[in-house]
Amino acid sequence: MNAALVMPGVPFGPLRAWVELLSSSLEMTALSPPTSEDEALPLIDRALRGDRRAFDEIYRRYADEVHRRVSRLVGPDPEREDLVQQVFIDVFRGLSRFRRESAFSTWLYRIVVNVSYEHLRRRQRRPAEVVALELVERADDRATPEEAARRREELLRGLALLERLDPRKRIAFVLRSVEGLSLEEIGAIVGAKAPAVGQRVKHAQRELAAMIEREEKRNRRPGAPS
Amino acid sequence: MRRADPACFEAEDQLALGAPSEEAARRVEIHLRHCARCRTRSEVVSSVASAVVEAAGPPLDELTRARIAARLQAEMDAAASRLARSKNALSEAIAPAGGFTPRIAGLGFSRWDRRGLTAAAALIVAVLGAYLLSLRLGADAPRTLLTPYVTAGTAARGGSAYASLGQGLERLQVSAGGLVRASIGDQGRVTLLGPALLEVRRVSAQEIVLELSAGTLVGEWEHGRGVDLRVLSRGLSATIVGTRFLIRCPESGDATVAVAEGIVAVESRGGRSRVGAGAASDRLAMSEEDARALAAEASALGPPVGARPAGIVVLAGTPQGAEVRAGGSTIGPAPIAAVLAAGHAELEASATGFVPAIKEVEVRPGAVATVGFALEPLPAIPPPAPAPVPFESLRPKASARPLAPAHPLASAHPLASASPEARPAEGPPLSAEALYREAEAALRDGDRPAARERLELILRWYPSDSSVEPALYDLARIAYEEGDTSKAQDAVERLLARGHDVAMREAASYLRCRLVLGQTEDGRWLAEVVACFRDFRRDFPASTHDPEVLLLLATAWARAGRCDTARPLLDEYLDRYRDLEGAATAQQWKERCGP
Repeated sequence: MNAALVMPGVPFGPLRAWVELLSSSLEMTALSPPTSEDEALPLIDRALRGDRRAFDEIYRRYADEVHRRVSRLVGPDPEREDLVQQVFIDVFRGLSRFRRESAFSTWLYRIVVNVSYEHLRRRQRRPAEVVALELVERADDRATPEEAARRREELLRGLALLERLDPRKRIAFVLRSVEGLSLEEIGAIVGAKAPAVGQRVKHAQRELAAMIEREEKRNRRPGAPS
Repeated sequence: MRRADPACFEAEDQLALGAPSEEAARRVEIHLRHCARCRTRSEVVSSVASAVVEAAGPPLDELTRARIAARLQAEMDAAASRLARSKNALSEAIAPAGGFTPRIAGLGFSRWDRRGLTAAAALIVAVLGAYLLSLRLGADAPRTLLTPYVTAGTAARGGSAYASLGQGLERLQVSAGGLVRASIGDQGRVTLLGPALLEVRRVSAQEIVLELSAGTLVGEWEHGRGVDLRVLSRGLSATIVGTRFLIRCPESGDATVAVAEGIVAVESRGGRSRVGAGAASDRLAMSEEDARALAAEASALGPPVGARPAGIVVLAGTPQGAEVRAGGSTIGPAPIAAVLAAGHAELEASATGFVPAIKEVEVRPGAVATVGFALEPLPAIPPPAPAPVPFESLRPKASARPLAPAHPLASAHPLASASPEARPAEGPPLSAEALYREAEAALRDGDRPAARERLELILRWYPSDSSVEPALYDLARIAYEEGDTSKAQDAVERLLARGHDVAMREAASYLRCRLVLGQTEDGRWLAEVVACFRDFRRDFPASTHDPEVLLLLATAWARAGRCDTARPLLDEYLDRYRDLEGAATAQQWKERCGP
């Protein structure tokens, strides 16, 4: 082999460029971690005084968080981007009504939940949509085709089950079982008492389990597709 | 059955509400071992919860974030504009009513105040009544009929694609040096050259009235639909029945009209006149400046109706300013939003000193698609080897075929005489080593075609020679540098399928991952990148690329929201490569992922 042409030890520039790209995007987000309330309040004051840059800063700081939360509440929905936008429009319009009785993040979360709830309700009235399946394979281990197919099937089944839940129960379930919030925290966000939230979570779990049982019974019937 | 067993109730409660104590948790744990039904329920909850997390998708990318920010900006601008208008309307409504000021102290109003109040109330009632009447009679249509749009750079009148940029507006404002194009309903379009302000004043079934307060307006209005366009400007009212025209409202002095096609009826301080093609309202022939603006916009005004369905593609990446081409035509420098006809499109980004990249995109009508690219710098040409390694010492003797003495290439300098014309149609006149040396020299001279030709001859004539592996690698590199990723991929796969040389396999594996990096960034892309780099690390743990690969792998997982997988990799990086420049990046990601 001729080493002069191969140069295995010389790093390629583009890879480094990609690292830099990742680093730069990290810097943008690293500067804007989920902000503590102390940091958010001056921004809110400035935004209320009409300082457009303050609102830009609020968006910059909370966009990732809002996107993540919306994504978990509504799943891989093609309209997520619009929902994130709607959340910030609602924040923009309603900032003057933010009374600081709760933390800004709680208030923001409430808007996220409201927007997601309305979207889930609208979506339930529409015919079933195709879920963006390519996302499902995003971080797959790619161990074997069989395993990948099985994981994909599990994921789809989980999403399909969630889709059949009432939006209120679905939201309570996600906030409790996925986000790990306490019933009191969920209650503050969805505007309900903790026991009511607990019931929603329990019902959601019960319904999910019942759906699985029904599916399995159907599959056990003679002649059912295996 | 669950109903019969109180332990099932407790398990259900804990699943939903959490364990109140360690003892309770232990109790439920024991129960779950025996109760298949509760266990199933727990598994269902857990699997659905992980489905939620997994299906949530990657975090916001920068382009999407920027796109949302731009839309929010537009929304805030519109809201501010609405607020300003409503304030003006309120002050105008109150001012004629007598300019009263209610005296709060004592809550008493003077007689004049009461008169003012009565007048204001009467005015409000009258305005409200007129408004309701106008609604009832349908006198005026909504005024939000200026719809900004963009066209392809090569758009011609009556031809190419255009795409609307959202909802209609009733006011367009352009800063100095700016330009905005908008359609007026489906009957006309205007281009506003900044600094300029254009507002819709009235819309009815017979007439649309616009007001140009500043700047230059180039417009086109279609004749024959029974709706006239009237443009008000300083000291001027121009009625356009169907024509192509320009109205210029300077900073001082009255506005002027120039006409390229048709006739415009102009009412100004000087009286009424009709301005025909080639003329202007203030002179017999239009100025050169007006003629240039009209000519420039003539090719850019998009057709408002009957256009081919089109979508917008936003192309951005590194380096900024890379030239973007679509279908052989230059669109402009990136980042750029291009309007492309719906369907499959290939976009090519290129910049001096970088390997061009081709991105494929499916353009959907009316939709915005974003495409990112990161052009890779052209690698430096390897320096000439001071003393070429004698191939005979590295290769099996069987492969070191002697030159055919009768062949003309055999006695001449390899590159001086080895033109394609001089090459024989068949038969191997040169040894694999000689061909490789020629390829090497050609690459040093930057002559890729000549190098490729010789490398391909090695594959054809000496398929089992050990030179095939470096030849394949070099072919992959050449194809990669030329932007032919499929050819590069093919060569890399062939090399990996037969490669026994570890260094060669390492280089090829690395190149393969590079190729995956350059692919379209769809949902599978991340999985493929991660898998490729993970395999690379497994196969070549001592590679010099390991720091970069490890960091890429870790950050890719972290960006996908899989901090649990990313964290140990980041720790490993910080442990092994804490002195490298990537350590700061790794540390930031680690902090972001949390403990």
